[in-house]
Amino acid sequence: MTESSIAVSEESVASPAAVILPLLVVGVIGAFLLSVALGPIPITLREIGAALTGGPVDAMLRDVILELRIPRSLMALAVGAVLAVGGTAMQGLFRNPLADPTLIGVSGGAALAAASFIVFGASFTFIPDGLRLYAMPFAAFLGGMVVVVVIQRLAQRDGRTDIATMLLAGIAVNAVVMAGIGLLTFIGNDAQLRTINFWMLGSLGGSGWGPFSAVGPVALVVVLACLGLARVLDGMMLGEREAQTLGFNVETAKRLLIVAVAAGVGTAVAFCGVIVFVGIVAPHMIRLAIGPAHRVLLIGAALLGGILILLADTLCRLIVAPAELPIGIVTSLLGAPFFLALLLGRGRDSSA
Amino acid sequence: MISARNIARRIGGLSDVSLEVPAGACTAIIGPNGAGKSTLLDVLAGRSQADSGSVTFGGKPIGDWTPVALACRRAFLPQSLEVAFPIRVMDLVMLGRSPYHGKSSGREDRAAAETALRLTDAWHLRDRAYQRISGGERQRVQLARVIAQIWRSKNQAGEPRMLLLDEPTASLDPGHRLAVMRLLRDLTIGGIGVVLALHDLNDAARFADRVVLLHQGRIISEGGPEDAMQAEVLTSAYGAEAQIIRTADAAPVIVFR
Repeated sequence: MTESSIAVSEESVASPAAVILPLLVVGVIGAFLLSVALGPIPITLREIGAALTGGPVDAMLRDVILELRIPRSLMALAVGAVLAVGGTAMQGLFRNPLADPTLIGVSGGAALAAASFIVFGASFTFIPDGLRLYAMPFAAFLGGMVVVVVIQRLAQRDGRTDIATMLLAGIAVNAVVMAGIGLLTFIGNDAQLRTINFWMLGSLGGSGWGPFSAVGPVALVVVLACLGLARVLDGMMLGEREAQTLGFNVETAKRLLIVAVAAGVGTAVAFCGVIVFVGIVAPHMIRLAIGPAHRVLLIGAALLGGILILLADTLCRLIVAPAELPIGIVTSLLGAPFFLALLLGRGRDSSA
Repeated sequence: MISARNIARRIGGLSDVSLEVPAGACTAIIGPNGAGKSTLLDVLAGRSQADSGSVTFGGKPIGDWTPVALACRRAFLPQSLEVAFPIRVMDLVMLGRSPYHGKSSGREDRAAAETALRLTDAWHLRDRAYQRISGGERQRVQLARVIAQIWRSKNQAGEPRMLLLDEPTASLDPGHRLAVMRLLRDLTIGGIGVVLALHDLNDAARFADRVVLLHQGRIISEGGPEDAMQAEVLTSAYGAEAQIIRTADAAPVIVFR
């Protein structure tokens, strides 16, 4: 057998990836343009081009494109990427294809903090008006991080993080957090209740250059950090002990991953609320298409996550225009049946 | 090569075990269920810490090795292994080359993985999904992974290396079982030290250079196969009467009744 005919690991992982990844890049560009173009005010590609290059375009349209649509689409891309990468990392860490960032409590903690802020925020008179826009996201981010730290501390055994305990602690702490949110909806008035509800279902309606300047860089750093840990995640497929036996510093990698995912998802949730399912669906689909090697899996999941959020957000703006549907409704309604179809299809395949 | 002094570990029940495991030889650890074979292997491999006592690898305390340097010199095959996500056999074996990231070329890594798969008669499985092959095939693939982990090209073969295996033949058919035992013996000729937990005493008698009999966390007998596996000591360890049948042309056969 000659060298060239040897089935080569990296190349044959890359061969489906070599087709899928460029397709996903094209998909991101397409979905991005679509999400900029579609909305209550339809916009043509020519107008988008003109607004970007300073060409002749109606001043109001230019504002819609540059100040509303583009930052919102960038936000969708960043949020989708960070949710999908967070999901991929958690699945690798928990060795479970159904794990997602919710398990480490980041969404729940952020939601509780946000709900507290919605109900009690008006009495926080010490917050200057200029910072009010960021006060709730900041509270949400803090809430997410606090709950992650609590869950991780609960899962410490002899100086190492016990992943199984972490899973169970996450379930328990999430239950407490949900009870807290329930209590807040009970205390709150009707308007606050509506706000909490809307936030729990997620929305990119609050996007703008300001929020994007917070979410975008964090998302980029988190995606790069997870990519840097891709090889450890590969080793983790064999289990923590085998990864250690292969020379990986599993303990450090676990901590870094948890911090990265908590920061990334925490920031996304802080500005856009809780958006479910993308963190499970995107990695799952990419894994089916190009296999479990994390370097390409993370990149593919980030791209697909971006596409999914871009499309879901576009749908939200179109379905009940000029009003907007919360994006969580769309991701759940479309994501769940699709996910079920994937699962059932695979079950039939493997029993054959 | 690996030297354990007075090691004790409450979990797994090892007490006061001292053992020298040489390179270039095959050492079989035998003993009834729960005797502490897996625990001993874990401690020798530096995967578990003993509560007391010391373990050195190549003369240096095993905890002083950097994880990567140790991983390039010793590999461990657990009894059974679930892989979290569907993975191609070749990619799984390539995981064994992880410690060489940045040290050896992709070509060397792939050559090592191919050699290992060919040695364990699993090369034909390279493009199959690990989750879809049989238990015995998985065991051979995992064996290929750990062989790939300590594989060296010819010009670097001098370095001391150890392979620790927890019942590597447990789910193999007789043909593959013998092939794997022969392969392990051949690896020792190349200078690799092999330590394995075994249930099949006749395989231990036939292929091991040294046998260590564990019973209730202690070594009760040790030495060459014939010396270490006397009928009386086997009878007391296994709780069944052992008889050693000597034949003119082959190794003695151990039967229990």
